[in-house]
Amino acid sequence: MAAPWPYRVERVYDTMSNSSDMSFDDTEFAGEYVLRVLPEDAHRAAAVRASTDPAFAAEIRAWEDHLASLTDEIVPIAPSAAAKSALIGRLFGMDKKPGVFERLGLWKGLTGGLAAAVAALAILAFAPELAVPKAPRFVTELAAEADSLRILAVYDAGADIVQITRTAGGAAAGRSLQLWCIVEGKAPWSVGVLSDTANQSLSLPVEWIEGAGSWSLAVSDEPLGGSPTGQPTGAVLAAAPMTLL
Amino acid sequence: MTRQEIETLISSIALGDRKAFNTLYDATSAKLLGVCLRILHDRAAAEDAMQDTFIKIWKHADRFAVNGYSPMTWLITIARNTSIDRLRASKPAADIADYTDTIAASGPSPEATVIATAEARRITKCFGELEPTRSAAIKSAYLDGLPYADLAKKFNVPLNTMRTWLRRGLIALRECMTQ
Repeated sequence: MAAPWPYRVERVYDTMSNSSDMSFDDTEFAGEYVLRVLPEDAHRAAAVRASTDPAFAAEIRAWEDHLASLTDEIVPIAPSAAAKSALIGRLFGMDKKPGVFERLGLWKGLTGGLAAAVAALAILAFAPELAVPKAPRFVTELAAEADSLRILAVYDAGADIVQITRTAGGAAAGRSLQLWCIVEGKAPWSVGVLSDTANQSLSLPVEWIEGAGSWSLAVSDEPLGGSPTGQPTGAVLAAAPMTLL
Repeated sequence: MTRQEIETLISSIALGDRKAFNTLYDATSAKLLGVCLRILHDRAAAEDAMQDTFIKIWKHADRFAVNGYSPMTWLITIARNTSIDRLRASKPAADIADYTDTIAASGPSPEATVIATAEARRITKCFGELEPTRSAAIKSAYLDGLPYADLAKKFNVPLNTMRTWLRRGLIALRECMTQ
């Protein structure tokens, strides 16, 4: 800036030691920062200070909140449909095939920790195969009410195992969770009792390997060790059809 | 859409929920495009800035903490800063995302939240009590995204005069808000 600038940037650093004591100067400075009227150097100095001084950051946040109400007078303008398509394309790559988990819609409703668990599974279970597409893959997510239980099941057509990942919940004390494969017109078939571990592979009988697209999976609450009858005896906690990715 | 609904959507977006993102877009894109257009005065540029805004929202939703401040403030601030960056064709000096972490961590107490909400309602009244030139300068700085140098030209006053107007305006606003 050609004209001498009246503001001394050094002051920003001078006051860092007693940052909890917000003077009028600090309040104005935070306001100027939010307005973005300051020259580049002073603006940067304020940004640095905001990142290290919570009280100053709170001043900024307060001005942001106050001044945002100035936009009340701005008339909303509906964007073009093309803008939305372009945005979705930029973010999610409309022309590309979406990734496994994107198509699953799995992220929905997962907490951060669970999302991380599923991400870890993605790396473990899918990473080697992602580069080389193989057999058709079927997936489902079994979710009990209020997310008390979430189970992801993945099955590659032709394989003799189904891969299970429990991302939330578990069996009640002294009880077991049992996974069932259900095809219309047949009695439920026990895929197996779920272990306490998050990841598990359960084998499938040969006659079930065909037609994964018509399966549903269900999980039921059973006595410890599994249903004594070979058929579900307790409450079915969740059920969902397998879906071709 | 209520504030809580928007907060819930942002929380879901932080977990990668595209449906929530779609809902938030449909609910807020017109408002944010209005903000972008006010600063950029060009429909195509404003739509680009609005898209950039939503990309930042998608990427940084996890940094929005429910800390009592309005989620619309967060969205509007990103839209405004993105538009100003574009207007000035410079790299972002300090992206909202760069310091939101700190700010979220220092969120106000519930009492402070109540006060902040009351203050937000009061600002319109307080603007009305400012000297017209000061009010106009602050509004132009915020809504048009003009820096001091451009504000001075627009209002045809020396730079230092503009700075005095604006700073005194801010002081008066703050005094009015804390009354």
